Amino acid sequence: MNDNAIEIRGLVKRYSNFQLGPLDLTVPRGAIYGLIGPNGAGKTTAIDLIFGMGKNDAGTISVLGLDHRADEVSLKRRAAYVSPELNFAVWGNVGKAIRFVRGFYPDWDDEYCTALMKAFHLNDTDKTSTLSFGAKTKLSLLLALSHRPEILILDEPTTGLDAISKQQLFGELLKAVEDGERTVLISSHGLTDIERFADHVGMIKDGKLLLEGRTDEVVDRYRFAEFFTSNGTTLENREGLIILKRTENRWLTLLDQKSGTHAWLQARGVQQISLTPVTLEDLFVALAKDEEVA
Amino acid sequence: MRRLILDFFSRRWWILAGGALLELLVGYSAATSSSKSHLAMPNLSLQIAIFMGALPFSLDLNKGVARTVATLPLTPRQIGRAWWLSVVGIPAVVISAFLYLGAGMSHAFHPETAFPVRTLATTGLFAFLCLGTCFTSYIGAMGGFRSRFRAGSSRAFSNIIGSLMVGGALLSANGLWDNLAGALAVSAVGIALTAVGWLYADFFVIGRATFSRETGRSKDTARQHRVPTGFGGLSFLISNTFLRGFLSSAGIVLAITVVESFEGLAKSWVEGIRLMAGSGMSFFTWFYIVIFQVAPSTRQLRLLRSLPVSASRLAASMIAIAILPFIGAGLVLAAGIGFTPSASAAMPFLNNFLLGLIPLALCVAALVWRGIGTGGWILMIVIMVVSQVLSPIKGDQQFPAIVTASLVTIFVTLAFLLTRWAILNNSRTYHFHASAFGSARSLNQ
Repeated sequence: MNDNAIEIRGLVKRYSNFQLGPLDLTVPRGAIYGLIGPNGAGKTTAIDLIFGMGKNDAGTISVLGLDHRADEVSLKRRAAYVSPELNFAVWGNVGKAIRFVRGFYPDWDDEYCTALMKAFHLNDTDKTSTLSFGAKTKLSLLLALSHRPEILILDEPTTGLDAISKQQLFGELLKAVEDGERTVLISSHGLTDIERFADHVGMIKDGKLLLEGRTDEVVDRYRFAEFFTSNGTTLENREGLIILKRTENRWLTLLDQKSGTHAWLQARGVQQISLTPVTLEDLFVALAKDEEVA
Repeated sequence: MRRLILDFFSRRWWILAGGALLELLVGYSAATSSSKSHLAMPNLSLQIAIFMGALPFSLDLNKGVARTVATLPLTPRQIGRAWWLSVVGIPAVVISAFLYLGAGMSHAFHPETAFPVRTLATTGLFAFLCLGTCFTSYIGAMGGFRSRFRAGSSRAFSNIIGSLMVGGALLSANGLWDNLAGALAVSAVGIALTAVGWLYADFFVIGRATFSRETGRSKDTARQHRVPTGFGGLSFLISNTFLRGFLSSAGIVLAITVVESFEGLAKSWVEGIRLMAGSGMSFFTWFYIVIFQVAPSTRQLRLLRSLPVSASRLAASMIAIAILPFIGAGLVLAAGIGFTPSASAAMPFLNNFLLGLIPLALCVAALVWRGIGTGGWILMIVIMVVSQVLSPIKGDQQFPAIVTASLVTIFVTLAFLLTRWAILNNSRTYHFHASAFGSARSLNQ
């Protein structure tokens, strides 16, 4: 059995003003994978392609060992999609939306659905056209969780949610994945949430994957490095070193500890190197900024 | 107000320009051709007028412009009336001007033909009333009258009155001088509704602004948190939309028949129904289904595509949502005719009516391919215009049943294949799911 829940290889999707990829992404089974990136990075495009919303120009997508196009029905029976962009207005009320989606899944869990309705304060007679933004996301999550999918893909689920709703959403997600058998791919701008919730992370920008790995390892790999140099020293274009700020001889940089740059700096006579840990958000901002400068 | 109007036309000038050009051609050809074409002029002209008013307005509403404009330092009345002028007043003047210009040009080249002053006058008047009624219907459809009526009744009222008025205006414009009293009655309704639109234009903004503040929470505590029972899936989607589509299709046919009888255009209701199917008036039936059945379902495509159903089944369902109510209405009406002394008219009626399946199915493919945006609208207009241009061919003639069946089968199959292709290969439609009531999301990576 394949150890990866999602394998994306060489994925390319071209628009007139944007290109996703070539993108390689690996989501291990049982992982909670946070896909992060700025607006327009390509997160939604990548997720849309998994569900066949549009055709990739190149590359392959495999979910639970199934090809996303050849085996799309089997794949979708085992996967679920959550997005605040889903529109339920045509159903009129929550009950009809549930009834519609329920018909697609033989293993639908009515008991669990009822529990989620209670937890999310959703009634079957609530009108879908007038649900708040947060309530729509909760309905989307309820519909996704109630058939207990093996893989759950959430596209910006926390957008527009208040702190309490966000906590509730993550609470339900954690409950759903506590057996460790379910895989979650979640794209979000909420980096604090991702850092706390996701055990794997992938960072995407301008359609390219900047980094990927276990969240703790990724965060641990990088350090803010502050140091001084003598006059005239140049440190630009060194792999593993991102210059964030320079004031005369004083430098603030982001250092990739695996790149050997620390030793390289010492060899170049850099003085008083002070290393401090970074958060996922620090890392995200620094890497995004570096790309912009480039 | 002036800024809003200028803004509107700076973005939507091409629709006004295109409409004006078409009106010029209609005016020219009607003045040049036979008296039969004179009758076709109001029909074509008013349909173009509806798109000059309703199309740009709905495009703006779908993109959430009302919510944005409501925050500007303008009163609701200023905003509402600026829109009224943009989608009713100015287009009406442009339509009349270009109709007369076209007819005038024709008369200059063909001075021997009679200048169709009566037809031009009535067409201009009814174009104005159609645009005004459409605007008022929009207020109701958006829940703008909710402070006076409940939202549901407001929308139902708007749909019924709007449909009747537009259909009535088309027929009245055709037969104004044959039945002056009937046409005056329709005109009076149109004038009243147009005036309501002007007077209550501010309700539009108020209605929209308050829309999202409603909670929509159920007060029915006995039914809280209950998982519904019964079958679901695509069959539920089709059954859920069938009755509404069937009733509205049959309702529109009967409503137009009532108006035709009232106007004295048909000697009996059976003849009225037959005339409607033959003259291309069934356009209203299939276009209503496209707007109120297919378009809302297209907005759900993101959800539908995430469910375990193949692209082929999904495409077939989208087509079925549109064509089943139409077929149902046709069969029931034909059966109804079959029980009358004019039973022999049943099959010819059904034969002509079912040709409406061709544009209907093609509209589904267009909407799934291009979404509820400018591209989708343009394609639908092209389909509508082509079907209208071709409708006189079948007006007095009768295709053999085998030809009708073959044509319908070929085009519905083509529409299915196009819809399936769009579902599989096109990413655009999944990004157009704004409703007239909500904000739109632009194409976002």
